[in-house]
Amino acid sequence: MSETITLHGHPISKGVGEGEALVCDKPLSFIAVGISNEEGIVRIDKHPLNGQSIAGKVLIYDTDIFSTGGALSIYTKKSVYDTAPAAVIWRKAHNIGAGGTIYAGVPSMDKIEEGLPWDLISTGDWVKVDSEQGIVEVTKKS
Amino acid sequence: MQLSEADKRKLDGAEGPAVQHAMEHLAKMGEAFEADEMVDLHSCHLLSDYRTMGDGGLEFYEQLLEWGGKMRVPTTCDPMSMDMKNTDKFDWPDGYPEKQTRISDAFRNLGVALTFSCTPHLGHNVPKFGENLAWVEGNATGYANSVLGARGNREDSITAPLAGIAGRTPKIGLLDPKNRVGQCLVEIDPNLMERLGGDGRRAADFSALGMIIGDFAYDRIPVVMGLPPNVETEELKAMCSACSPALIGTLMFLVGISPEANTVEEGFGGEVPKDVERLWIDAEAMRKAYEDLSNTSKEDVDVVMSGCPFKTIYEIQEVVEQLGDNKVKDGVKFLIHTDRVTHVLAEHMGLVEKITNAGALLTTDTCEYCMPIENMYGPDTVIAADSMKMRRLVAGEGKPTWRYGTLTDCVNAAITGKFRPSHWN
Repeated sequence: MSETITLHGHPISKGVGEGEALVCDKPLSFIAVGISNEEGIVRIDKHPLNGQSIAGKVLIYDTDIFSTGGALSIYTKKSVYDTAPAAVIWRKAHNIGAGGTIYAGVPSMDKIEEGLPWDLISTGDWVKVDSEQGIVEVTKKS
Repeated sequence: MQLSEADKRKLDGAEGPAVQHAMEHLAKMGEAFEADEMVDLHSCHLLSDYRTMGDGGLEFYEQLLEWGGKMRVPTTCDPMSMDMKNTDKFDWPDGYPEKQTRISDAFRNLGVALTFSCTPHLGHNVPKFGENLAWVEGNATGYANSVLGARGNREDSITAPLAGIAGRTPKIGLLDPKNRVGQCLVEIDPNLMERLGGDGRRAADFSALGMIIGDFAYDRIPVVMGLPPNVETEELKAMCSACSPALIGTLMFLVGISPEANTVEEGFGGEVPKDVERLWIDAEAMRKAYEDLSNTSKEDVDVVMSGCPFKTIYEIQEVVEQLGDNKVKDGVKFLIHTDRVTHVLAEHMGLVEKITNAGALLTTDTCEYCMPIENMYGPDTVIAADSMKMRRLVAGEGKPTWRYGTLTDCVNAAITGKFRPSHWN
């Protein structure tokens, strides 16, 4: 049986979402020039998530970099193309990711009490984010 | 979060559905960032480009308008995805002109000044000390905080228009004076300072300097020592362009320039912490920054761009002087970016004619970041630029590669087709 751990954090956008984790410890941007709205695939110079799709994933990264247009890009990814992540966890939320996930209805959290999110969650783990309760359930990839 | 009686009325719908919708979002933002209260907003600056916002963004603005939304504070807007003055010079994807025009129409009816400029702080939206901003443009907000002492976060493209419609915004981040305290220290080598900037070099040098500071400070507020009090507006504009592709926040305390940091101690809110993390920037750091900003070693360039952030009229004069009587080489595109208002002035001054005769193009209201660049340039395209921000934003799989150099290097590349760096080698 796979190991399951429970983490606690600070809710930003309230809701419940789950999916496979896609994890990095670097800043990221949702802007179309970096992650196209239509496909949801990361194409940013030297980024560790290059070539990966964020659609339906529980996306974990440091905080938002680049354009503030990221917020509307999240909304368009969610409302038009269905390429938004299922949920987002940051080390520290930025206005851009916060405003975008709140408006688009994508659950999000930051400040995980147990440690840095990328030390606790790995790409491929199954993650359920309940930001109503401030709880993250991680089922480790076996 | 404590709401005023007026806030509660807005939230209850007394001022119509657009204001109510805006307040509901602002209340959630305030809760997420644990704000104590909302404050009056003084100025707003919105995202315009269709490429970034997509159909979701377009519908968002049109919905706000349908609900009776109106900007309550002076509001300008960022560059768009097209050059409407030079539509024939570029190959736009189907549907772009219609969608971009719908965004302009929505803005006009929302009461937005159609400036389409990334430098509102130097044009039609100049804030005063202590004013609260909801601006989406990082370089502008960086300048407004660091040089003018106004208060603004790198506001997201959804919260900014909603704050403008409500006339209120939660007091979070840099809107709260208690968060405006230095967290790390940067010292610029006086020997480097003497060599920085000047004609043909100011944009590249100061945007690279901003990047070095931003990469070090990241999500902290740096206190920067060593800038002379006579540093130019254009140099500060270039330096503040680090606010987005390097610095996560929008405040650098520039000692002797920032109104809240007349001394280094003041920048730290009293005294310099003993264990403060320090960065020393010398000529070697600049050389390395220039080197790192080139992600190809190819000498032959296809495109040369300058004007991120947009050129001021004085920088357009600088381009014309650098061009002299030379012509841009056949097959090379030389694009210089500014807004339509500055373009009108440049035309009036005879500068547009000189640029056009040289075979270059002074564009209006757009840039490589806002344009659908994949439709225009393939991954084999080599672009020479003197803008760190553009270089960092537009790179990665399927996108052009870049050479980074001074304006002089870029003009020479446009004339000869060859990029040959002359500076910091």
